[in-house]
Amino acid sequence: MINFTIYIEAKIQDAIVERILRTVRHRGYQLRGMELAVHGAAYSMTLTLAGTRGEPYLVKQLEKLVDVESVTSQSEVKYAKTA
Amino acid sequence: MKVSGARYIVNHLAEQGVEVVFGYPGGAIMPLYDALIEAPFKHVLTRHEQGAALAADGYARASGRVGVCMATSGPGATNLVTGIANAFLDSIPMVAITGQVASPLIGTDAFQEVDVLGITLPVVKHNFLVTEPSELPRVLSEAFRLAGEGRPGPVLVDIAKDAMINEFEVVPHHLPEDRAEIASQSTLERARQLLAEAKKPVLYCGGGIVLSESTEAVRRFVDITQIPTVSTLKALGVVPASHPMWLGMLGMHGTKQANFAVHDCDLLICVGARFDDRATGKLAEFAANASIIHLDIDPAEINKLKQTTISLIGDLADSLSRLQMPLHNIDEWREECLENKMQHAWRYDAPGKGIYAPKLLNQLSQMCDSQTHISCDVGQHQMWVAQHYRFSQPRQHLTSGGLGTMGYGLPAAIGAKYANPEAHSIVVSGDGSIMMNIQELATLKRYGIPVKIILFDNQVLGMVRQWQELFFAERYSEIDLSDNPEFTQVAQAFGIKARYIDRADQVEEALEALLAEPEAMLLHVKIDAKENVWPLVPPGKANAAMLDGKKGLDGEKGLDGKNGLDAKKGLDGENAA
Ligand SMILES: Cc1ncc(C[n+]2csc(CCOP(=O)(O)OP(=O)(O)O)c2C)c(N)n1
Repeated sequence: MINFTIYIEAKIQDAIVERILRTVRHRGYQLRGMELAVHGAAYSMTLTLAGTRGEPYLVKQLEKLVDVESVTSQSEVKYAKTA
Repeated sequence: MKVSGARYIVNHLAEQGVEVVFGYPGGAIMPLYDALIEAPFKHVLTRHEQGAALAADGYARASGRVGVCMATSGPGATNLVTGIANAFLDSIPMVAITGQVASPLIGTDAFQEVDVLGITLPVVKHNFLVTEPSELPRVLSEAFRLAGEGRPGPVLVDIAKDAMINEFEVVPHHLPEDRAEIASQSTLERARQLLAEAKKPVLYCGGGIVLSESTEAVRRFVDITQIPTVSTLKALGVVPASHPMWLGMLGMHGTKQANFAVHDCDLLICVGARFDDRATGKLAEFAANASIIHLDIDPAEINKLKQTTISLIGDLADSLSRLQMPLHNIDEWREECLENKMQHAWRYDAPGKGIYAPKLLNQLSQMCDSQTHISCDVGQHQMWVAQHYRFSQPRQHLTSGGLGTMGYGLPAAIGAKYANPEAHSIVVSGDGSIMMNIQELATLKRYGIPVKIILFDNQVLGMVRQWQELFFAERYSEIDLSDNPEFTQVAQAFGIKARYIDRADQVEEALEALLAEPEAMLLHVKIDAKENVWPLVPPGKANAAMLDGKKGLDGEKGLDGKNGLDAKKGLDGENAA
């Protein structure tokens, strides 16, 4: 199991939190902690996670979600969101 | 000027260039069906919403355009789900519109209310719930853009009934320009170096080539490099089956020469494919000694299953055109691959008077032109089509690859006929699969759609029977279909012509008559229940450990030196996971 924390910014749009949590579950990660705050028209979420597939695999899947604006790892590496 | 939401939807679909919509009406979507009466495009009433979604999928695959389907709330929407999932797993551009109960009733367990947004979350590229008509311009523009751009996929738009009825002042929505992504020059240089140094390179073509219209670029690449080439199920036709460098489909039911080439290569160039388990077999042994260059538009596919040496994310045609070069040092490798290709060429000299499905399909491909669409259901017949029909164009072959949806073939063929009315649209089905969407025979009749159906009847769920025979110690469970209805009578009851054949000497004339028939027709073909699909990579095994199964016929040996039937013994107790 690899433990890691990621920070997500996402537009407040239909079911965005469900989309993120569904992706986390389906791709095989366990949620160990979550914080959610609203900043203007966006959510910021901090997710503490555990999984055997590691962080980049999940980050790439989360970045595919249309309303996710950015995913940042705890180690401050900003993952550039590609189209 | 004010318009109702429903009227706006119709206008918007027309502006998007939609030619045909496949659907089924009901309570929550009635305002839209009312507006459809004046629509400038066609609406095809299928006889089940699954048929509508799969027809939209077939239309999209055959045309390259976005397929559109619609259904009412509740059961209408849930019936669409299999078709949406089918499009999702094969990255097919689709917009599905569902009616929803009026917005004040959402969340009250109203009649025919289900949370369609929630139900479809895992099987859409994106979805929207519209409760205000003023949201429609933005949502519909985004839905069409998302469905088609980048890696395509289905987008669902769930629209509350009141948002269709209420009027609003239209403010057009303008989308920002798309920016095509291209691979960086430095990464490309490294990829070129790998290619120049390779002694045993193989090109592995996937469905992304078809989706991104990169077929011409791939063909140029193959012509310039003269690289041995293999294809997934979804990329059949990208490189014509007649091309000397084409080794066939790889994977579970791939050709020996394709699987051997990938097993032995020192460089695998994967273009728009995703290392699916049906293609790779045991992943650890797939191209185990090769460097890998992976070209894809979707960054999430890179390193998902197989670590790549170099990834080229971006437009496939652009990357290929910058990667290509004549390869001077691979003559020996080419010869080895071509020698394998010759040695393992298909044989059609099956003994007996009965009909041998692979031979029939090979004959069919010789009788049809390169425009013909062949849509399949799922099972042995689907694999025989992939193996024995010689595809020469990419959008000819319509098959449910990712989801493996029995019942896909007939609705998809209907969609293909709307996409390309001049071309033949032929369904190859099995006696299990045809029953899953048999109601669409009524759609053929109603609209006079001249789809041709070749129904292979082995009186069993053949592919399941084959696995039970090989991997479950011949313990047959729930595969018997010997009480099938009389299929010719079924077709005739729907007003569709039909004919039955069961002898090899009837095949040629029957196919000629089928193709010459101006109306829809079903050809019911009896085949042997015990016929299996070969070669076969057993589950969990490396592709190079294919079973052949034809002991006594050609006595070919797998890499392990055993022929198919001997090797089968080694599988005892293994699960078909
Ligand atoms: C909707 C659906 N249900 C079940 C399956 C599992 N399945 C795969 S192939 C197959 C048998 C198909 O039988 P048939 O259509 O007669 O084709 P054959 O294999 O005999 O050519 C089944 C049940 C599936 N792929 N799709």
